[in-house]
Amino acid sequence: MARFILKRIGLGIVLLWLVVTVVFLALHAVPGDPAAILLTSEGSGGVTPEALEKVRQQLGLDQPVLVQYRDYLLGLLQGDLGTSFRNTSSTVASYIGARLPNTLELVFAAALIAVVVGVPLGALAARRGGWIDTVISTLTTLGISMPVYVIGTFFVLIFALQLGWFPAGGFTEFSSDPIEHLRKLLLPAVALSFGITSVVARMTRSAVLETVAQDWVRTAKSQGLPRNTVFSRHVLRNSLNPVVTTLGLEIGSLLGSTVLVERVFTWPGMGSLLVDSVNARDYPIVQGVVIVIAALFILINIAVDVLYGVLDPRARH
Amino acid sequence: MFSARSLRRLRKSLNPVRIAGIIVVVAIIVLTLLAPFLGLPDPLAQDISNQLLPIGSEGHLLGTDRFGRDVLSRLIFGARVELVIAMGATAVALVLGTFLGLVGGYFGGIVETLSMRSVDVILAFPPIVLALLVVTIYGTGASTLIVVMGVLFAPRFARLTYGQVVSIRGMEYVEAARVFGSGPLRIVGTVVLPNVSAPLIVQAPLTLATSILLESGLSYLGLGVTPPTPSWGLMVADGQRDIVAHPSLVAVPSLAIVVTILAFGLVGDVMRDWLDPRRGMASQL
Amino acid sequence: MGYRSGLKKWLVAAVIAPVMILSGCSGSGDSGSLDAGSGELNTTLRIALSADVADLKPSRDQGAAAMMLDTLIHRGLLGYDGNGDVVPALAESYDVNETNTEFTFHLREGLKFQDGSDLTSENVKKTLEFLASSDSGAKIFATMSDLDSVETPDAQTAVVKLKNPNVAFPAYLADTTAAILPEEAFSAEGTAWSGAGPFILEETNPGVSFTLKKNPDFYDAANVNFEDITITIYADGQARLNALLAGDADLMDFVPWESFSQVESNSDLVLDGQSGPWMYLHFNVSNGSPLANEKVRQAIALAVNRENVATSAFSGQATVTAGAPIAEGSEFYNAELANGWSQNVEKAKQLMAEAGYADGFDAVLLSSSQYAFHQDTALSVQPDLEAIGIRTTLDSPDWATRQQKAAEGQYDIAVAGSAGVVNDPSFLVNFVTGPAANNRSYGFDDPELNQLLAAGLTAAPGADRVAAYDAVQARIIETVPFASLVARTQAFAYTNKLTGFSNIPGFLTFESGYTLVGAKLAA
Repeated sequence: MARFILKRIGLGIVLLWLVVTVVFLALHAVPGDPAAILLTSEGSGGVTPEALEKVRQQLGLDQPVLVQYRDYLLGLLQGDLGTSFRNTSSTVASYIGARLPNTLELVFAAALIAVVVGVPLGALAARRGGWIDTVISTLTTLGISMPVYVIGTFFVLIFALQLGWFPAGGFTEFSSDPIEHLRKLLLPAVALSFGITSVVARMTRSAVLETVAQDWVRTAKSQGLPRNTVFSRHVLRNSLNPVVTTLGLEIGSLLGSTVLVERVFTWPGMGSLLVDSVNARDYPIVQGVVIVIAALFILINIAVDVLYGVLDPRARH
Repeated sequence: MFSARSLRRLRKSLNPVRIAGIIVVVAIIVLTLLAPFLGLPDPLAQDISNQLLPIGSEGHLLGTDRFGRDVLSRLIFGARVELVIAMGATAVALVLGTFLGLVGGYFGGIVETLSMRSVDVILAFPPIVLALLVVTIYGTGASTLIVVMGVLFAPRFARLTYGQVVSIRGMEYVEAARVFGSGPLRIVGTVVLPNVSAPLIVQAPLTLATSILLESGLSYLGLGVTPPTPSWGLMVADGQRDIVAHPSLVAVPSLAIVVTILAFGLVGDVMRDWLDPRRGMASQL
Repeated sequence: MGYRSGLKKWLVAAVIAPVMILSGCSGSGDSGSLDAGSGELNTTLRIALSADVADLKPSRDQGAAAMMLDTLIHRGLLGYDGNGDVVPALAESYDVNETNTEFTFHLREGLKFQDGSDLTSENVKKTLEFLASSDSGAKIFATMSDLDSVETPDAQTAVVKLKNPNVAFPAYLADTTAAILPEEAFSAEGTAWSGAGPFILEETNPGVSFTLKKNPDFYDAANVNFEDITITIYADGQARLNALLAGDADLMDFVPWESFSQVESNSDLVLDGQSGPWMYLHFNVSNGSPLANEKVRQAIALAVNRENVATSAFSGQATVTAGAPIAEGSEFYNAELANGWSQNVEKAKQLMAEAGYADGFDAVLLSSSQYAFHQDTALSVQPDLEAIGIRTTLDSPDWATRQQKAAEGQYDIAVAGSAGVVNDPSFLVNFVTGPAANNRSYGFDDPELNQLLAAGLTAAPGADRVAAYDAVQARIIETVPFASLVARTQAFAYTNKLTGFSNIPGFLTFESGYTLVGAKLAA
């Protein structure tokens, strides 16, 4: 078992290194000079070549790409993600430290909604079958089909602009006003949850159906145990493993796809940090964000694999 | 494929909602093919004096946008763009993914490491992040989108194929072909591929739906097709500025996106229950 | 040492006049009623700002949001009042010699930086020399590169000598990027988060908010009516407006054009719009390009429908500009020249034929998808260009890529939006000559135009200067270094409880934060 885990972790590190390399090289191929962006705004122009050169030197962009790559990797090995181009007195880690919790909060809120809504929906569909099943499976297909920015836009239009029940977006620190914080969290979290709720519901439905078809359930029923007891005590519990796995993987992929929802609701998370940093050509932050998201994603995958390995020794090979 | 049993399964997999989905898909395809012959106004023609007309205006059934362009026409011509990109991306994903999965699964060893690890690398990137980087480098446009999304969606085909190939690699009929001296390429092409194709075909419409979803998201971020080419995501993003006074500019393309994705998703469900009943409902969307 | 500037006396009058008007209005003469809201004042101002300011660097142009912070944290020798007139700031007065090459600034007594250190003429010298160094990236470098020397006869006096005459020099020093900063700001890693302005930065929440508090050592602290200012960043225009509507903010910048009517229909809000930055097309005139032919450029300038740009890209909130961008109120405005490019498609086609392009040509139209109004401007002129045979393909990358492509000449025609540093027409030089840049025609150089512009800087104020800039405008109409489209309306919106704040007209709209000194917020 230990060997299996070690092997997965080793593979994860190699994967992360590949991701770092791809992002690093890709960024240096992007047109748009970071120094020029720092020195000009919409209205200005005519920066002197000397000024550009000086800024490039300060940012280390005058070095050959391979030297920059080596220095970056050496820094990474010491846990140093570098400093922002836009704000050379702030580390990338401090930016991510400020934004990651916001994104995690959004993702976990959406996952919570997914469990609370999705599992009962899926179980209901599997248990009742018939038209209820059809309605639920159509609803879940619909949930997956709605782009999050469309849901978000209409939430803003309806619940913020027309009805005025919730703020249209923005962010308040939990510490400064917990109620306001939650009010601003609700709409983006619900918008983000549509897709994952549908996936969880579908997974629950098929897992329940599979469990019900197994011999021991038939045995339990034939023993005369009440149907409801069989269902809630045994079937549902035994169906939750694949659901938990799916949820884990979905959380991993949601981490990277909050860009759109953060954009619609001006939620200061990793996604908006990424888009802003790409636009400003703030390479260190872009690299940092992608690496952190990829690392989390890989970690979740390893955890899921290990969990599988524990549950099912055959999967270790 | 069309044995009596298969037809029975097809009939069982249908329900009114799914039939509606199939009708919508057919309708969309017919509309996009016939678009130039429907006598619609030029989707690019501007007429600023008639900007922001409401739904139901004379000559503009769905109104006009801020350039006075006909919304209905942009919607239908936008569907063409949307479908071409989605189909292109799905085709790239299918070919690339199947190839990686086949060679990885059949040959094993170093080939497997190379093919399946590159799949892992693609998977480790959040899709929209990778798309964002690539589009920023190579610029917006349909061909960039097709390639990026094709690469992004290749892993799901690669993993499916890989899993199938590994499970049948040791089967007798594959062994038999090997014993009779068939070359590996021949075995992969004629023996392995036909036996793993059902789940791949099922995956295709779902990937198509996902492609539309991602394309519209990228267009929304300004990273999709280049204007003035009509695109649904771009229409939503453009309309958003006028949403308070003219919500229909957002509602109409949004509805088109949702209905189309939903319809393709339903078709995917039908095909899954019909061709590959072992798989549960868990969609990969 | 020269004469007391007539301009200066006029400045003093400009400062005093509003005060007299105010007291005149109060009528009763009772000093108590002079206090506009003799009732309660709210001492916290909340601003909803359109963009993040990751770092403040001395002397650089970092956009509208950074300029708002600059006007609050910093002060220069001079500043602007609400009408856009230059007023004294750290310098209580200045003298200028007859040839407009030597300016003597008299600093106020007892000036201090926010870090507590004394602000002397030595700091003025350090700052101006930094602005004049070619690697500083200073926004006003083009003007400051003429700096000859700064002498400091005593701690209160700075004598600034220029290599060439410049009548408009004080206007450039009134820009926020010419703020006097402590010496540390000019070191390699120096930043400009501290200066000599009315507010001190207290807290930063990167990408989210800034908190500022009143600077008790500010020379005009008695007129600062806010104890705290909180600035929250809402990059999205609608979200920014929602914050104002919901009462989460008292003042917002950059009102989206499509939302003007929404603000105007709300009786609790004030919409303060001024004709601001201008949109134009610039060209790649490298050898061999059809655009190197000035007749083709004239044809383009005559072909575009500017009303369409105003309507489609700015929801009608823009004014047509069919000549050099000089505002109607300016003494340099010349109605005939300002409409020199009024739309005339027939003449445009004729010019194309004369240039040998009767069948037109293909061209790349560069814009940016990052700013909707840039992209919409491009989409709006596309059919106009097509009408005279110029078939364009739109290239609409993100802003950083657009800037690089424009600076490297990877385009044929480009959409740009820009503002002069000052309202004085001398700003035009930035858009017609200099090293390759992202906001002017690639490869364009017109020595005659350059000479006319140089003459404008030396001409005596009054009729001579007006004549000099008439010649400049006429030459621009002819050689088309850029084709103007519209001047977009740049608006602030605020609660009607806020008084004294004012959107400074023209290109100075981004300097409007200056007027928050003296502004009041009723409780």
